[in-house]
Amino acid sequence: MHVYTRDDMRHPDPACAELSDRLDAAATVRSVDELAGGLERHLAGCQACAGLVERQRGLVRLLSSAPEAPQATFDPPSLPRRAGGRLLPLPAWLAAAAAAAVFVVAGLRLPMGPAERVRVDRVVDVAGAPPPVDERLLALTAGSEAVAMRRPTELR
Amino acid sequence: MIRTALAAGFLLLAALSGAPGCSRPPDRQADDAAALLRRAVEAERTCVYSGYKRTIHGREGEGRATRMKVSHTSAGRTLLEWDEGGGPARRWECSTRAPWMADTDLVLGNYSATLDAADGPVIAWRDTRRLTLRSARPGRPSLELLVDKETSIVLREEIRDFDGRVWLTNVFDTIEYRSPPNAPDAPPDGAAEQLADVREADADVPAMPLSVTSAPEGFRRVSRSRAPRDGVREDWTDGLAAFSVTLRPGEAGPSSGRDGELQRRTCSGRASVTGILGGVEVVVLGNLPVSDLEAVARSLAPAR
Repeated sequence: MHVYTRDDMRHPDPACAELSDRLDAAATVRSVDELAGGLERHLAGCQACAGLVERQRGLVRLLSSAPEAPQATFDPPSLPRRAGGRLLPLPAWLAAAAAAAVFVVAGLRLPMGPAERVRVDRVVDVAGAPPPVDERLLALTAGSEAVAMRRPTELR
Repeated sequence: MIRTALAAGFLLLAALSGAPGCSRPPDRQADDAAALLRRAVEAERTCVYSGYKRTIHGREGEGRATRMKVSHTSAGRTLLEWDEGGGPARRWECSTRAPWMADTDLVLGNYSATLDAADGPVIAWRDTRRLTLRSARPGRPSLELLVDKETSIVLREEIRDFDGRVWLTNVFDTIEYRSPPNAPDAPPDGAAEQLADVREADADVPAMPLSVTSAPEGFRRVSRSRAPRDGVREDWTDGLAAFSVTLRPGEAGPSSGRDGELQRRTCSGRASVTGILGGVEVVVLGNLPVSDLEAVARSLAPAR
């Protein structure tokens, strides 16, 4: 299963790189038409970017729909302070940024919920039954000459 | 001091002039290869030619071959003719002979092109250059082209499947760069069957009940069309490889298996994944490894 991640945006197309930079904006606008700089046209034609924006929107929706944490107050027990005066060996802002980064990366890599995709219980390999030859796929992979080559023997 | 300056000057001159035997930088080679690929596509549109070529299923000299006459007329029409021997010839008309010619940008975005520094072999008494298209991703086909050195018409194509086996060879035995004597610039109506362009979408195609939520990297949907038995299908390609997704109302049964079961089938160079998923018959077919097609089937989600 492939899940779109920011790694998918390592693309030679600079529009993909710009979309990656403006991913949060793209995921929070009401309509992609509000995006400036031609990004709405790019989204219409780029499956990878459209998929990534859709995933990010799902994450935003999920976060928005979460109930607020209960308000409670309590007096924390007093802990012995470190010699440096901090509980953690990192500045608070750095710890918060690291936690946020872990959350974002984990969120992006989470597969879609099972309820959103089709349910597959079992996979069976069938031997001795080759897949059918499909003329449209033959045209897309081998071209018109291969399609014509099949027809003399099949239609005559 | 003077000796040092002379030596430095000599080295600079050698570097600027390009010493014999030195290869060109890789990025220049890639640019040359991409430019030749684009010239080949343009030549296919503009050159007038007529010749006989064989389409061989597999390696040249081993697989089943069909010989055809191929013409590109001054009116810009591409005609294929096949004569069983004695009987009337059958004639087809197509818009693009090779699928990679339809979207060069897509091919070059997914496959790296390399051009041999040395000349390729002589094909149909014409000098050639060898151009190869390969993907950095595993499980993708590759393409080797021998391109006419003078006109840029592709004289020989060899397609290898994702396992590296030669799957199809197209090669000109003869070619003339002029209209054939009995130029079929305007064959009478009905004399040539039209080979439909897969990329042309059908009109009024119903919506897919399920949609692909994650296609393999580099693939683009190129068409949506009706399929037999009230089905709809989508075709996706990355320029050389392709897969289709066909959906229709379905019920679990002895042949289709129970709902939620995927059946995988493989054959040299192609594979399929079929099953009934949520009451929808799903058929995913393509020239990709079966694991890629299974991932496509698993990514299907109710269309919104």
